[in-house]
Amino acid sequence: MFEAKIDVSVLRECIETITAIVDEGKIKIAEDGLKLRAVDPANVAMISFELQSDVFDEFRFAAKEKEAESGAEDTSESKAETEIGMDFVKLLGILGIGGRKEVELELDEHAQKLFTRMGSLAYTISLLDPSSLRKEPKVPELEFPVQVTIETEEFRRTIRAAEKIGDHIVLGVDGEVFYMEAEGEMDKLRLSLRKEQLIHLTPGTLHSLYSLDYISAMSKGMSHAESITLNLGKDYPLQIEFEVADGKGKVSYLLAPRIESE
Amino acid sequence: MSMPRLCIVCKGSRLLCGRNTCPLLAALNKRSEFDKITNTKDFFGPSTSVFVGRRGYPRVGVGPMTVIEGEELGVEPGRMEEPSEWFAQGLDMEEIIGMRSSMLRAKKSENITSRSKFLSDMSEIAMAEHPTEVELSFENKLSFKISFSDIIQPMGASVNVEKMKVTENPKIPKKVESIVSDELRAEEAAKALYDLGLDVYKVSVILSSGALGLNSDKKMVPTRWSITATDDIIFRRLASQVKEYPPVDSFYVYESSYMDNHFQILLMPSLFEYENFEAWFPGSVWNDALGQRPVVLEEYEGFKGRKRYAAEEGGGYYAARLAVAEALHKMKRQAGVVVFREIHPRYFIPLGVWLVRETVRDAFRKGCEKFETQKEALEYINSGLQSKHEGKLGLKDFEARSVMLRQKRLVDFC
Repeated sequence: MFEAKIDVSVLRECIETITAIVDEGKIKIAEDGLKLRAVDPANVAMISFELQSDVFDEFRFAAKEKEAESGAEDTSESKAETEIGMDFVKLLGILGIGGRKEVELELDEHAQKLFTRMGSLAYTISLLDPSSLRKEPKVPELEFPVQVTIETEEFRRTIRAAEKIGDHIVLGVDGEVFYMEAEGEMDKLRLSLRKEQLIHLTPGTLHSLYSLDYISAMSKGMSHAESITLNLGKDYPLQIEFEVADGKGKVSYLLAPRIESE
Repeated sequence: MSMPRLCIVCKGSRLLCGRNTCPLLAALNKRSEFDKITNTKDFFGPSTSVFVGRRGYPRVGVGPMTVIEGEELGVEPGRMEEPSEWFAQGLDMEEIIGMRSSMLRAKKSENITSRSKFLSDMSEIAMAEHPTEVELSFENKLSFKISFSDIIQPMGASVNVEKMKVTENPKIPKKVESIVSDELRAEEAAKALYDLGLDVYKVSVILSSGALGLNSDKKMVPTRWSITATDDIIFRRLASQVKEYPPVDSFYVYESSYMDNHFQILLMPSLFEYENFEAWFPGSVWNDALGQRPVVLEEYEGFKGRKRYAAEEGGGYYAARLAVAEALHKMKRQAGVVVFREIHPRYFIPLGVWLVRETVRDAFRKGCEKFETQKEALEYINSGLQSKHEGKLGLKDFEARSVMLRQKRLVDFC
């Protein structure tokens, strides 16, 4: 059983962080909130998403009762969860047309449907069969030597400018300077920010190259966060962490690097 | 198109292209056959296909393709339109040009939406199982002007038609007839014809003849466009299924070569993605800057498919992609696919995209090499690049332009 009420704009900003990476995926519902981990079709980008139940105005969840399993040891309440397959693009579309502030959600597990209600408008979404969706990805074990925290708008502006230049971008740290660099056939762009212009920086010397297609999509997903934290390495995946829904939602993107050409 | 510079210098006498005989002379020899009928106003013979021009669109030159001297040539007229047969028999450039030079394109100016009797005859000829006998009266003298194209097979001459009479009942297979008479959109009908077992060559001729589409919007499609449109329509149909299949379990390399076009195809364990390289060597069709570097072109599409036309490579991109999808569909697997095509100087007259389609199909009919890692597979491809031995081109030249080969995957870090 799952029933909840939430501010439409909060839910939208959460779903937008997901659609930046995947169109559909499996979302886990538990007493403490919602969770999702999904990888894009090319296995290049991943999202880990968590939303605490207390961001909802109402949140009621009870796991499906499992029969005759009480003998097993790990039936602790906290592990009880339900997994549903969701078309996020569709959900986002529905939230966009409601014209209301609040949306009520109600899950019918047997019928595999999610009822949404915004005021007098009721919309029933058919869920996707979780077994038809991609398996939850393995998470690489990564250690990042360098961490940078930057205002989201500064980062997004640079990405927008880089889109005019080429199809990839370098992110790096040189001593106490964080930089983003894009080079096309004709033009070149560089943003450099010293430690004091950033919220946080671990000094170091390294950089990696990334596909702009992916970063641009991620950049749209993070538009509601005030600041983002970048975890970087040398020719290494990029991790971008930020919060949504007043700090009650946590998002972490992972992006595999591109190999630099000589 | 104009003749390559090399040919103008050589004029068939010195064989500068390195061949044993001159393919253009083979074509010009046909001229004497045409000369015999140049003053005749009437023609009787088999029509193997229908050709729709694109100049003047939406008012275009359309009409039956006929064979001037099928019997003397020892070529069955039906074979004139079956590139898969040409490949299977290993015809070389001279033979194909020679054969197609005896094709006469008869044409009449019509609007693409016209519903004239002439055009309904065209649709029937297009759908017929075998060549259909026609009687033509020419408006003017026919002119021998062999034409070549990157998309379309060569043809010999053209003439304006005043009157046409179909002198036998075109034999149209019942199932084809029934698909065409159903109220289906052109795209749906093209898919249904392919599922029936018709090859894309036949489907594209039928599409081009204006036989397909809802009754209210049936129209002709210029031959050049219909070839690529058919490749795209059939690809999308196959791909929607391919994208549901499990990925290949390892790295595979397929290879084939035909008329100085060398293909290597890499399959990688991933969801469907597709990248196509064309390396045009100096002296090959579109790169006549002799002595300079090869020109490498690249086009890519991700899992979600492409919206923009692959302008860099045009029809060749779509022809290769179709053959790849056919192979994956048969294997019931999906993969990340990279096609490496090298076009060497001895391919200096374009013969049409069928050559790409058939060579890629052939690569998948042959065996493959299997590798555990991407690195090993790429090393194999590198050593298989024909141009590598001439020191002109290496894998690096492809990697530098590649979307797929330069992108690491998260699984590489697990």
